[in-house]
Amino acid sequence: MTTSILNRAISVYSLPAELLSNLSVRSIEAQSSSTATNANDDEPSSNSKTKNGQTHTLNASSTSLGCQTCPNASFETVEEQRNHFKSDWHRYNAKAKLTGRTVTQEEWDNMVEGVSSISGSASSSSSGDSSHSQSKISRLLNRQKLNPTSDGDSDEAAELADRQRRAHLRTAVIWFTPTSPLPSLSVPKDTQFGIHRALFPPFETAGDYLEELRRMQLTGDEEEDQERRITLLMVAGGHFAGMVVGIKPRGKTERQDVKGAGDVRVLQHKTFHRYTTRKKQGGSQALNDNAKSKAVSAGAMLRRYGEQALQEEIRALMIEWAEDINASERIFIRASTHGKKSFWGYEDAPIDKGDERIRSFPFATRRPTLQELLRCWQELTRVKVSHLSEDALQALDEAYIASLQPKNKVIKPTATPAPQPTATPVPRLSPEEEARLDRRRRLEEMIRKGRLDALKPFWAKYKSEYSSLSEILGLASAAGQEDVLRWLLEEERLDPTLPTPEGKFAYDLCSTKGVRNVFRRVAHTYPDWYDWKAARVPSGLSEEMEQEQEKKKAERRKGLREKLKEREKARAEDEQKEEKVSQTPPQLQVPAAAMTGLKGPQKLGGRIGGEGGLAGLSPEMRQQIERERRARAAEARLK
Amino acid sequence: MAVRAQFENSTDIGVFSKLTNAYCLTALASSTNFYSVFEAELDGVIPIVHTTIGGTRIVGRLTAGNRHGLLVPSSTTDQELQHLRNALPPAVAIQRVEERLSALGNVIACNDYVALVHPDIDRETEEIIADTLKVEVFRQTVASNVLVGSYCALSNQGGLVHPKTSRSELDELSSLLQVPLVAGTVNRGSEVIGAGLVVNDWCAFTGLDTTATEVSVIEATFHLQGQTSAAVITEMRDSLIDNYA
Amino acid sequence: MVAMEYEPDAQGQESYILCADCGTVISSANGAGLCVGCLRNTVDITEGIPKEAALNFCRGCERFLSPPNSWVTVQPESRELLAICLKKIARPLMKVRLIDASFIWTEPHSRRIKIKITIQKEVLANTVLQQTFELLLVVHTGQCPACTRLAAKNTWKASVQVRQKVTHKRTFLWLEQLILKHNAHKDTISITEKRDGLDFFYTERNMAIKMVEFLTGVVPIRIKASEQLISSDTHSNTSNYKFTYSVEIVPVCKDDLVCLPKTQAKSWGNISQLTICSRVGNTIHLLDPMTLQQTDVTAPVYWRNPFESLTTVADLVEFIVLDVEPSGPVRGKYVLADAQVTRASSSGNNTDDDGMGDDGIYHTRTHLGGILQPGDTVLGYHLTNTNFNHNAFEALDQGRIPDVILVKKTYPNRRRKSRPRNWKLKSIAKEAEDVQEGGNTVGRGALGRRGGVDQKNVERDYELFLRDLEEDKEMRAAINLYKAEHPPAPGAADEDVGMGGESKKSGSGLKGGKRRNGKQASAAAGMDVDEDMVPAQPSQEAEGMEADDEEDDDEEEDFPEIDMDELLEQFDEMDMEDEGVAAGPEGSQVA
Repeated sequence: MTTSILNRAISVYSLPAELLSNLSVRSIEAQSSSTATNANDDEPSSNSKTKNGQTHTLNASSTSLGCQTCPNASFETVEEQRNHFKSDWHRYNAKAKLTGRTVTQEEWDNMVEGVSSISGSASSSSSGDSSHSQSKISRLLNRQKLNPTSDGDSDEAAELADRQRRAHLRTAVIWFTPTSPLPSLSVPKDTQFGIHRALFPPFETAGDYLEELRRMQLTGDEEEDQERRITLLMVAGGHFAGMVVGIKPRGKTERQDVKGAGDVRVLQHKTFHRYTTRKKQGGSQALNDNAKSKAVSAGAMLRRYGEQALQEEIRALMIEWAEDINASERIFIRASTHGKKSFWGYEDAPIDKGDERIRSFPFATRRPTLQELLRCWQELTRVKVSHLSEDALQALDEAYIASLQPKNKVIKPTATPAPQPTATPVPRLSPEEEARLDRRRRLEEMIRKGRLDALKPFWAKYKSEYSSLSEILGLASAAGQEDVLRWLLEEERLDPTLPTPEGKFAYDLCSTKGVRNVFRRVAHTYPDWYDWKAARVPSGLSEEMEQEQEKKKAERRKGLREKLKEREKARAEDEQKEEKVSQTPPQLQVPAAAMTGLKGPQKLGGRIGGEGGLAGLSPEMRQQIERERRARAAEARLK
Repeated sequence: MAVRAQFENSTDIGVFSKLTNAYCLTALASSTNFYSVFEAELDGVIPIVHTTIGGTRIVGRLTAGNRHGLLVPSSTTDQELQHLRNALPPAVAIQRVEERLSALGNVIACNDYVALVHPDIDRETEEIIADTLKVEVFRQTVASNVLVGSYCALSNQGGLVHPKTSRSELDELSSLLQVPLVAGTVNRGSEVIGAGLVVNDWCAFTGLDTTATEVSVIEATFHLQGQTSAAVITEMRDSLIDNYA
Repeated sequence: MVAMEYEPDAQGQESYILCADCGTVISSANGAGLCVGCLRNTVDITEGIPKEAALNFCRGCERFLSPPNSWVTVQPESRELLAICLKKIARPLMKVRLIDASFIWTEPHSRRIKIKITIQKEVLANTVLQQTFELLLVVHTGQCPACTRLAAKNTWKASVQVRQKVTHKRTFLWLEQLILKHNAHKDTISITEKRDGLDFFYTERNMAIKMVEFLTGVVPIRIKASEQLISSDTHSNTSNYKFTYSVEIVPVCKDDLVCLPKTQAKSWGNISQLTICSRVGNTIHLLDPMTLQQTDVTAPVYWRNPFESLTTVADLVEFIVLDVEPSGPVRGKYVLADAQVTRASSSGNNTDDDGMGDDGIYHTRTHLGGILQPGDTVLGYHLTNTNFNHNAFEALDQGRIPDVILVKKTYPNRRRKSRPRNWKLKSIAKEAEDVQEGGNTVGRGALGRRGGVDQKNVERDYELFLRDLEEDKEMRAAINLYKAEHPPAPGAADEDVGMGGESKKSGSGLKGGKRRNGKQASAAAGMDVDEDMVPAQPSQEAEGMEADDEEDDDEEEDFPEIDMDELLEQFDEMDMEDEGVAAGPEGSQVA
C-alpha cells in the first residue's frame, strides 16, 4: 500500500506487521550518557552479587559460624565471630535490621568511606575506638534514613543517576522508533510511535515492552479477538461513567447504541449521577464529615444519601458487569480514595484491590461522561506519532529528567550533629584525634546536662586525655552545673587558677550566682589549695557567712518595710494638712530639693565606683544592690 | 529447683522481682505471700530486698543486674537507692543509669559474664553496663524483638529465649553467651520469658500458670535438677538442644 | 535496595519448642506455645454461643416463628428453616466466622432439631481454630397471634358499635365499601351485625380509636366512649378495661326528604323548610329543590338539634316527565326547571276519580332540569298523596307545599333488561374469611350474615345500593369495583345493537340514540361531541347517557387491571363519549 499509515489513527492493537517487526523501544537509558548506563549496570550486578553471596551464606551457615544479622558473614573461629558482634558493621546492621535494610561488608566499607570523607578523615572502620564508631553508626543510620539510595560522596552524581534510573521506562508514554525507514508504509526517518505505558504490565527492560506490544496485537482469530476487552471506569463529583470496550473494532454491520462511538465496540456502558458534591464549596460530603464534625443540614443529608446510593449503584453495576470485568485485559479507573471503595473491598467485588490489571488514566480526564470515556479510550489506544530529530529528543529527555522531583528533599547539613563545623576546618584527623573529638563532645554534653553519674566513670577513664582542664571547669561553670562543678573542684581538684584558652578564668565564666557561690565556698573550705585571688574568686564563703548575709538582708528588708509604712502614714497626714494649710507645699518641696541635691554627687560617685564592682555581677545581684541603694536613699530622705 | 509463684494474682513474676546469684529484689506487695515464696528458697543464702523503684512495683522490669552489680533507672529515688545500698552486699555495685530506655530490665538481659542489650541503647549506658556488671555487652535482638530483656531469661548455666527464635539465631546467641540456649515458653505458652521467669544459677521462680512441661524445660535448661531425676531431664534437654538444634 | 532482598536462611527459621501442656515437640509458629490439640482443649471458640435454643412453632397453622415477629411456613430441613435456626444464635455468631451449618436428622415427633455448625475464630495472632458443634433446638408448640385471634373470638379489648337508626341498610353497605377501600378494617378481629348496625372488635384500644377517627372522616357521627373495668391490680396500680365506642350515624340518608323546624331553617341561611338531602359525606348536604339553595350541616351542628327525615327512599314514587322547561337558575350540576309529571303507575286514575280537580298531572319545580327530558322516568315524593306525622310539616303553610318533589331520575327500562352485572363488590366478610357459620352465607357482606328477619331487607337494600352505585358516578369514584368472573358475553357490536333497539323503546334511549348517531357521524372528528359536552347541561345528559351503558363505563373506569385489548375491542367507540363524561361532571362540579 502506498498511503501513509500516519494519515489515519492507528490502534495500538492493530499495528501493521512490517512496522511491528521493525520497532525498537526508545528509552532514556539508551540515549543517556555513560554514567547513567554505568549506574544502571551497577545495580543488577550488585544484585546478582548479593544473591550469590546469599547462596553462599546458606551454605556457609550450615557448616561454619555466621551472623544472622549481617548478610554474607562467616567466621572461622568463635573468637572471630564474637569480635564481629562487636564490630561497627554488625552494630549498624543490628539497628538497620529493624528497618529491614542490612548491608554487606562491601557496602558497609563504602558507607564508612562516605562518612569519613564528610568528617574529613580517611580512616577505615577498623578503629578500635568504640565511641567514635558509635557516633558514626548513628550518623550512617541517619544518612541511610534520609537518603537510602545515594551511595557515594558526590551526591549530585548519585542524584542524577537516580533520576535517570527513575526516568528510564517510567514515562507515561513508551516511545517506539522504527529501526529503519519504512517506505512501504511511508513512515519517514525520524518518526516515533508513542503508546501509553499503562497498557503494558510494568516491565523493567525495553525488550519486554516490545515483546508485549507484539503479543498485544489482535490475532485476526475472530473468537479470540472478540473476547478481548478493556474496562474504563470513572467516578468523580457524584458522576459515574463506566464502559467495557472490546479491543476489536466494531464491524460495519454490528449494532451500535452509543452515539458518536464510531468504530469503538462498546460492550457495556452506563452513566449515572447523584448529588454528592457540595456546591460552591466543593469536596464530597464524606470528606467534610471526616474533616469536621458531621454537618446536619438537609443538604448534607441529601449528599450523604447520594454518596451512599451512588456507591451502591456502582457496586450493583460492578456485580452485573462482573463477567465483562473479569474478561478485561486492563481496568482503567479514575476515582478518589473514597471513590475506589465503590470498586473493591466489598463482598462479591469483581475487582481486587491489588489486581494487576488496574491502571489509572495516565492523563487528565474531565467530568465522567460517556463521551469522556470514549475520548479516553481513543487517547489510550491510538498510537501517538511524532517526528522529532535525535537532538530534539535528547533535549526533551533531559528536560524530563530535570523535571523529576528529587526523591527526598533532604536538608542534610542541618541534620548532621552540631560539632561537625568545628571539625571541618581541620584537614585530616587521625582516628585517635577523631575519637578524642568525639569523646570530648560527649564529655561536654555530659557536663552541660549535669549527668554526674555518667560523667564520673567516663572521667575516670579518659581524664588523662585532657590537658586544658580549666576548659572543663569553665564549661561546667558556664553551664551553671553546681554539682558537676563542686565535684570537679573538690574531688578531681581541677585548678581554677589556670586560665582557659580564651584567657578567661573559670570564675569569670560563671553564669549564675549559685555557681559562683560554689567557687567561694570551696575557696573558703580549702583556702590553701590555690591562690584563689588569682582565680578571681573574690572571697571565701562559709555557711555562717551565708546565713549571716541572709539574716542581714532579711533585717534590712524588714526595717525598710516599716519605714515605708511610716512614710505612707506621714504622707497621708501631710495631705490632710495640705487641705487645711496652703503654705505646706513649699515647705514640703524644700526637703525634696535638698534631697536631690544631696543625692546627686553621691549617685554619680557611687555609680562610678559601683560600675567596676558590679561589672562581673549577675543581674540578680545587681538588682539586689540596686534595691539596697534605694532603701538607703529612702532612709536618707526620711531623716 | 523451679518454684511457681504469683504476685497478687499476676503470673508475671519477672515483672515484680529480680533474681541474681548475689541478691534478690521483690516488689512491695500488700501481703508477704510473694516474698515468702522467695524467702523459703533463698533465706540465708542471698539477701532478699523488698523495694520499689521510682515508687513503682515493677522492679524486675526497671532494673538489671548480676552478682557484680545492679543498674537502676534514673527514676529511682535517693531513698530507694540508699535502701538498696544498705540491703545489698557491699560487693554489689549499684549504679543509677541515665537512659532514655528506662525499663532497664526490658532492654538488658545478662548473666554474670555477658549482657545482651537493646540495639538503641545509649553509648554511655553500654559502658556503664560493662563497667558495673563486669560483662561483655552485645547489642542484639531476640527473634526480631529489640526488648531482649523481656524475651529471654539467662543464667550462667543456660538461657531460655523467645519461642520463635530461629535455630540459627539460637546458635548465634549461644555462641555469644557461651551457654546453651533453648527456645521455650512460660506461663502456659506465654512468649514473654523475662516476665514469667526469674532465674539464677541454682533456683528459678516462674509464674503460677507454668505447666509441668515448661517447668521441666526450665529445669533442664538451667540445670536446676538434682542428680536424682536428672536423667529424664537431660534426655529432654538433649532432644531440644541436640536433635532440634 | 539490595538489603531488602536479603532473606535470612529459611532453614534456620524453623524453631522447635515443647508444647506447654503435653510436652510434644512442636514448631513455634503458632503464637500460643501449645500444640494444636492442647490449644483446642484450652480455648473453646464456641464459648458464648448457646448450644440449645427454642424454636416457636404454631400448631394451628404449622408455621415457625422467624424472629422477631413474623411467622413463616417452612419445610423441615430446608434452607429457610436453617436460617431461622441460625437466627436464634445470630448475635454470638457475629464474633466468629460461620463456615458450615447443616441439619442432623432427627425424628420429627421428637420435637428436636439438631444442627451441626462449623465455625472459625482467630484465637491468637495468626492462629485460627476451627471447631464443630451441635446446636439443639427444641420446638415449642404454641399459637401464633393469628391463630390465637382465630381461636378466641372474644379476646377483644375495644369495640366500636356503629349504629344508624333507620329502616334500611344502605348506609352500612356503603360504609363497608369505604372501609374496604381505605383498608380501615385491617386490625379488626371480628365484625358482628347487631340491630341497626355493626360492632367492630379490636385487640387494642388505639385500633378502635383509629376506626372511630376513620368514621368521623367519612360520615357525620356522634361518639360516646365508655369503659368497663375487667380487672385491676391494686399492687401495681394497673387495671384492665374493655373500651366501647358507640358511634351513632346521623339517621338522615341521601335522597331523604327533610322538613326542618322553622327556626333552624331560618338560621341556616333562611333555607326553605322542605329540603332534600342531596348527599351525605362527613356533613349532610341539604338542597331546596325549589330554589336550588343548599346548606351543609356538620355533625356537631346536627346533633345540637337533631331532625329526622320526613320520608325516605322507600316512599319514592315513579313519575313520567311530560314536559321540562328550564327556568333559569343553574347551580353546579343542578338546573332549576319547571316540570310537568304524571304518576307512572296506574294509581293516577284514582286521583282522577277523586275529582280533586287535577288530572294526575302535576306541575312542580325541580332541580333536575339538567337531566330530565320529556318521557323520562323520575322518582319523587308524592306529597299530596301522603300523610305525615311531623310537627314541623304540620306547621308549614299547606298552600306552599308542592304536590310532588322530584328527587332523582331512574331508568326502569334498563332494569327490566335482566343482564347480569359484570362487576361486583368486595365484602369484608369474604375478605376476612371468617364466614362459614353453618354454611349460612346468604347475607351481603358484613350484613345479613346472621340471617333471620333482616335477610330479605338486606337483599333488597343491596340491590338498591348497587343501583345507586350504577347511577351515581360520584359514589362510584369513592369505592373500589371489581370485575365479575363472568365477563359480558356480547361483543361491542352486539352491545351497540342492543342499545339501538332499546333506544327506540324508551325516551331516554332516544336521546342516547340521537347522540350516538351524531357521534357515529362524526366519529373521527369528535368535535361535535365535544361541543355537546362542554356546557354544563349536556354534561348532565351525558350522565344520563352514561347510565345506560353503566357497566361498560364502570369496567373501564374502575377496572384498571382489565385486559387492555379486550377493553379496546369493546369500547372503541365509547372512547370519545367517555372522555366527555369524565370531563363533564367534573367541570360542572368546579363551576
